[in-house]
Amino acid sequence: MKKILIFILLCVLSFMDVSAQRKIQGTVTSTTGEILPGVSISVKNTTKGTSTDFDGKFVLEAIKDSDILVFMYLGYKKKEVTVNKNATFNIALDSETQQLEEIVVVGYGSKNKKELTSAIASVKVKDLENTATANFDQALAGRISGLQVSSVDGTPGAALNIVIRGGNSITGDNSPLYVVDGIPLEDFDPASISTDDIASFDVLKDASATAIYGSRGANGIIITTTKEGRKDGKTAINLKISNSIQFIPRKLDVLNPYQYVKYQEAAAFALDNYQPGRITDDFYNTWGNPEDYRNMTGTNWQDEIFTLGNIDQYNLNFSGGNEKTNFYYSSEYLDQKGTLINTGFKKIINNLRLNHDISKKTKFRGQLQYSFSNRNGLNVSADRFSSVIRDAIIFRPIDPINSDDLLPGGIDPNDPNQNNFFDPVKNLVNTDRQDRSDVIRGNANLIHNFSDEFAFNSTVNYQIDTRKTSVFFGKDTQQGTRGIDGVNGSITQRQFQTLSTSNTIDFNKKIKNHKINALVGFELQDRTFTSTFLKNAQIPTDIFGIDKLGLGIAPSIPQTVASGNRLLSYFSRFEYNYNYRYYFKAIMRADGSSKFNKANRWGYFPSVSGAWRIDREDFAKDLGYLSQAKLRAGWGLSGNNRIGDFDSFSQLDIDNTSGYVWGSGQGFVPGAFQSNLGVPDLKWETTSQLNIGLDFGFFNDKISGTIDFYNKITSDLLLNAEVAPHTGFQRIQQNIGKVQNRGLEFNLNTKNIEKDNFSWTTSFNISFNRNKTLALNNGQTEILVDPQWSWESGTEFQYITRVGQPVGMIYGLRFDGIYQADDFIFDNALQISRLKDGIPDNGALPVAPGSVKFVDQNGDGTINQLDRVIIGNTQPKHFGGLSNSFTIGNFDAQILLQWSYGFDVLNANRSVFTVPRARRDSGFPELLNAWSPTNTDTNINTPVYNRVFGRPPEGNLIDDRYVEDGSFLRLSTVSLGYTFSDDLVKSLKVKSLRVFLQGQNLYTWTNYRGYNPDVSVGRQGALTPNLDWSAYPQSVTIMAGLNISF
Amino acid sequence: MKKFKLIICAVSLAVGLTSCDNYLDLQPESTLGIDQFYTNAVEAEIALAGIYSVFATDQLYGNNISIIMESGTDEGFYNRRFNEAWTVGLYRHTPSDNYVLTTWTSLYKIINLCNLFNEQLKKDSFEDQEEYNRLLAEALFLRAHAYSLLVNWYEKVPMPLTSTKDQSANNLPVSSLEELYGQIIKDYTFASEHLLTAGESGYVQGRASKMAAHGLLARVYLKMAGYPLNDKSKYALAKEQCAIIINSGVHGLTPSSTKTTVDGNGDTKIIVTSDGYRKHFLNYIQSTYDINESIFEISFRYLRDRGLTTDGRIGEVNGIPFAFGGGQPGYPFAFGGFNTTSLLKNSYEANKDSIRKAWNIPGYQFTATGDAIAVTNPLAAQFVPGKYRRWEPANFADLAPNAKPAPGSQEAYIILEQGGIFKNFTNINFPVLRYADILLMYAEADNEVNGAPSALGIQYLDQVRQRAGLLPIAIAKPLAISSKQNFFEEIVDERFRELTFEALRKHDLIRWGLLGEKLKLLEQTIKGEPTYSATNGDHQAFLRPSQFFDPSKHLSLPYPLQEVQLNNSLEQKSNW
Repeated sequence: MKKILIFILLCVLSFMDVSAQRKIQGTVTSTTGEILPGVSISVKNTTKGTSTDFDGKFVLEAIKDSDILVFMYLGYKKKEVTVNKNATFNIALDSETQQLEEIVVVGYGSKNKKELTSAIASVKVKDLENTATANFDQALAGRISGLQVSSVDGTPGAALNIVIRGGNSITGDNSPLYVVDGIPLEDFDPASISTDDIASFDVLKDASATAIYGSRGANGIIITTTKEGRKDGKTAINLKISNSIQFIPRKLDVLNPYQYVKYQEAAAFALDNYQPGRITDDFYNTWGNPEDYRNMTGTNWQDEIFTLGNIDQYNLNFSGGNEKTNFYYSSEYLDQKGTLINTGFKKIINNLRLNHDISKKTKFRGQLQYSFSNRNGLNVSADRFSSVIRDAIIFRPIDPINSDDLLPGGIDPNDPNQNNFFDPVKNLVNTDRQDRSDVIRGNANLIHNFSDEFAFNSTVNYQIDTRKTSVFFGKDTQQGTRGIDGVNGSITQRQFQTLSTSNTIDFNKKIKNHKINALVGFELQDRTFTSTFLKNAQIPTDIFGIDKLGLGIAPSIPQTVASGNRLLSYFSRFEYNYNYRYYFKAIMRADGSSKFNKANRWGYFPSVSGAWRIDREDFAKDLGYLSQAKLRAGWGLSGNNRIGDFDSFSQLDIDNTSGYVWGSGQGFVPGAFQSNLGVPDLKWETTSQLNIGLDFGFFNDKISGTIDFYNKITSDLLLNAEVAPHTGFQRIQQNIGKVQNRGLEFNLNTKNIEKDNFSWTTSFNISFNRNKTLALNNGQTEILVDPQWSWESGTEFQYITRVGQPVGMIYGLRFDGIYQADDFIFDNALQISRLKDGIPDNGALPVAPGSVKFVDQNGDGTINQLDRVIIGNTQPKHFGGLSNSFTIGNFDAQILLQWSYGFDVLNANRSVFTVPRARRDSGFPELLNAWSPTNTDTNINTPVYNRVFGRPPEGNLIDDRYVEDGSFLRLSTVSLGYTFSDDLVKSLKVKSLRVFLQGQNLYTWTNYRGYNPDVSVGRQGALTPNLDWSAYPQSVTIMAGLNISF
Repeated sequence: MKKFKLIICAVSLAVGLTSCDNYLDLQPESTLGIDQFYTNAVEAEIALAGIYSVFATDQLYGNNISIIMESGTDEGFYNRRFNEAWTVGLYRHTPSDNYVLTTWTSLYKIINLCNLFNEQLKKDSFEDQEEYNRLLAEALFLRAHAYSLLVNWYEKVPMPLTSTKDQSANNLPVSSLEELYGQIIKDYTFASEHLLTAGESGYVQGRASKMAAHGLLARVYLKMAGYPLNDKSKYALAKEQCAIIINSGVHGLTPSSTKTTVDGNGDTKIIVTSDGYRKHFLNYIQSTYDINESIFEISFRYLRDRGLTTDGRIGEVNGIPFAFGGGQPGYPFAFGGFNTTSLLKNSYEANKDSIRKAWNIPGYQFTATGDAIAVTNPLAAQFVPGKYRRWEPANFADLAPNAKPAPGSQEAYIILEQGGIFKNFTNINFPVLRYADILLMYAEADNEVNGAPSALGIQYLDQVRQRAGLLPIAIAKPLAISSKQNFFEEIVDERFRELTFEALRKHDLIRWGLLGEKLKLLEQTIKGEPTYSATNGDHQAFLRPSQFFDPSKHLSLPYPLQEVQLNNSLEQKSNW
């Protein structure tokens, strides 16, 4: 802040032209009041200069008002001061090390980074601003150790999965708690604030830091504070305009027209039992000679659904005021058109911050924020039955020479099996889906300093978050044409209202070398939730869209839900340090929640931590190369209460599936069922975490870094745990089970070159996390999960969480090649060929040469659930980032590489698109390599012959062929900026002007064969990670823009 | 001044401290605490509807126990060879099987709701104690039915009689069959004492009645008399219960009108002029209650267009194939996954039983091109039950091989089902207990009690035969009434012909100890079909039930894996 002020001061002063020459004098001290002798003082751009005497005093002659004095002293920060009309100068120099002393927000206060006893990391706000992303979370990947940022898929504006130091919960939510300007926000949407308004961004990782947020701290905390107005009496206006283009870097390789026709020819031949027959004849009658298609271009349906996306973004902010009253107002407008047609994201943010000092001791801080965001477009990966990506892959690339009366893409409107398939372009264009969120946030904060020691801080916050999802399926969509609802629309509106207050008293005292800081406070939070749902179907026309649902003739019963929860908390923090050398901190928080029964309502979350600043020891002062060294250790408890508001109550519900019909006319009667069994002893989930860390710096912090080791054990998991089903329940929310996360994090920052015209800094971070399930329910050893992405029926458990293993492993069969003729013998008695003894069937009967074969794990001669094993580990061995920043003259540049190594992805796309079947579906080029009597050396099954299917039966779809190493290295961010020189800027009558070019997700090095390995569309959170099925591909973004200050 | 301000702050903090715990008392708003319900008849009926609703899910009568799990007998089998989706009917299930789990879970969900009802229904808030008893009786009726289904499928099972309070309920050992049947009998008896009789003032059609309790109790006694308990003394009790119903005069068969003629050879022949069997089943299809013959049924109605799920799969999964219309709304689509057998066909033909054959296995289908065609080959995958047909050809002459629709048009058909017609879900009700079953149960029990068929037993059998247009047994098959064994065998076959596809056969065969035998017979019959081919994969697939049936394992289901893992007081059955 100070830097900026000085800079602004300089800018302002440089406009003044004063020519009179005179004598000036002054004193130079350190900021702590120490007199500094021998400080060199020069007058900028001249040869004039002097130095201070033993009393720190100096005198200079023949000085103009416009001269700039430059103060330099070893171990202190260089300082420049413009003379102006002043004759006497009292200059205080900051010590060099203080320049690095970043301020970190720790929750109910802030701390000098050097004094931290906990594992807290910060992201440079510049780094977030300098990325071509719509929301700040997209810029976080690779920036901080221990912070795993992964995408669901590439849906515009969608929030990312952020997990700090590994997931604690199995069936619960693992996302961190966001604290924005001191207000803890649950269900925070990163789209609701503007990246450019962020002033600081800190991540609290270990329990000695997060315990201050008690019951909500276990998943880690992300604290952001937003910018304030300037205090120098000036007004600054800053305008940023940028425009981006977006495209998907790769399309999946699919059959071209010639390949498709050859594939269909081979399939027809197979259907004729590999001898010329009726089906082959039909094929030639329809398609003619396959060679005719050799040079045809046909349609790659991916080209039809993907397009060039773009983002228009405007940011405008005003900031002004004086020492007493200042304001900051910003607005952002962002309009993104996605790479999938008719998808996009829009947001508008208005943010006003007002600070006013009522008196020297009493300050008021207020903020009012309104944000609107809207994600539009069909939900690509959310629906089990219809999928535009799937349809774009399986639609045939070309129609036959002699028409077969099928719809484009080879769809037969009369085939009930193809009911879910539909022209993906029409589906996209004619589906109007809007996901709108309106957040209004206001907070008022009063700070009163009773004395130097005591301060009182009171905050009141109100937030209303209204989310409305409207979906309208027009005539020319799968639902509109082939579904039971016809043209239909639905609106779901959910409203979250949060009222909270927190009040603290802060005590600070320094007695000689003893420094004490203590804080006590209490906090209240009241959240209410309401939701309404309405739907109408069989709408005769789609011309009105969602705006006239009343036209429909098949309305659904409307639904409403209301819910709420309250939290009451008391907390205290005590900190002590001796001579800035030995630090001790203790935190205690008590949280009471309405979610639990009276007896278990209160949870207590203590933590202790300490630090030893080795660099402050006398012996270390002699080690010239050592600029900082601090050893930290901490332990604490934090909690998780993210369960349903009334999960501890036994409840009856009445819903649309629980009714019955009886009486004459068989009329509907609503029916009740027990929707929840409230376990009486339900309580908090508790995470204990031990953290040991080292902060170091060498050569005046040219090299600095941190190393942290942590061991986190979450017990009494709030697990929606399976129970013995004779209880009438399959699952009950219980405190059951244990999960461990252990890890090592390493950060290194180096200042490779620091010259006036050229600087180069590097930051590197790497994280290792090992996740392990330690216990589940009542002796249960595993939880099996069917991610239910396939539109075909049947249950298939594709994920497993097993005691002793990480949460959410990929589970399936081991592929054992394709059955060959050798595997069969001819049974003379039955006159059929059958499998040789000891060779299992694949779960379907009969099998034949060309069918897929699996490893029979239990040796019972057939393949079923019992033969499934863990076939993939979804947890990366390590992940991290490497960023290099340069400034060369007026140019600045940054390159960020990000990686994740050694994890598996379940590429479900390949389990559909590489498996030949007796359909007209197209797919991946592997289909050409299908087994046939003349092509036996292959891993791809035969389509069908002798009425034997080559593909596996339902329930055995996933085997290890579809598990792929997802390791990737990504050129995540490249940014290049040029700040115009003062002369030019002056002539343009602006204060500063910067132009920039930025690229995001520019290139990914990976062996993964899908669109992108950073994908996880499984709908059951930690239980079904890294599933790739019909995901919206990630885009490359290239942004150009300019930033002007007036 | 400074101190004063400090005091204000201290006070405000203290206010926060004292406001405390009441602040955290919140109650659910969109749901109800279980203690807040069951206070009057309206709430009790909502609670009962919720229990019936579970019986009507796909996991129970909607699909699984009415169709899928009942496959794999001489009535029929799963006909898709490319997968083994109907595991239980193919005898290919494991303890982790979904049917094994969901049947168990759904029935226990019912039991928990009934237990809750029993505990929470507030006696004091009813002025009329008989009203209270009647409501309670209905819940106990439903609990008894759930337990009898559980015992049928799993034999010995845990028997919670109080609602689940917390996770400590996980550990509960199985009860003995005697204990289980004791409770079932007790509950049905209470129900029979307090429920209304069908047709009585205040009785609501489709709900449990007094005679339904007597009839299902009779079924339980018959089951107890057979495998696995083999307590022969229960035949008399079964007979007694049936007699109560028969003598009450409340129920009867939907009659057929017949003409008796004598042909040129001097043989007496019955010509049915009005088919009561068909008429009766049209009621289930057309969502009307026939409370004369139908003593208890499960009701389904398609209301998804209003966002409500009260429909079933009856007539779609086990209906006559209808492929025309691409599965679009308005077309009576049927998947026809359940093949019937030549055993049933032969049994009808051998007895000149044309009325019931025409209804139960009519042998036709509607193709994707709109052609109604006959299905005569029992090894065709379209040789399926017609009992729950959604449609019929408008003109049966269209079934002839040479009758083809004109190009671009299709043959006419009639949709029999009432209500919204959609692809996968139907309005068709499922019979649980019919009067015909009462008559046949009486005849069976009576034969066992007397050691030979009695006049009354024969008379009741003849009532069922007569409605089907058959001559009295003494005339048609005099040998059948010549001994206890012969009469028993006739009952076995009569139940086959009359009650087929009503989810009774598998349990009848198990209690009689005949399941393995009938499956062997099925295998021989399939292999004996003239069109049978050992290299035809479809035909091979039809042999799966007999091939995989293992009498040491398959007379009951294994306990679900989840139950075994989490209930530390329960051991898996030794063969699993």
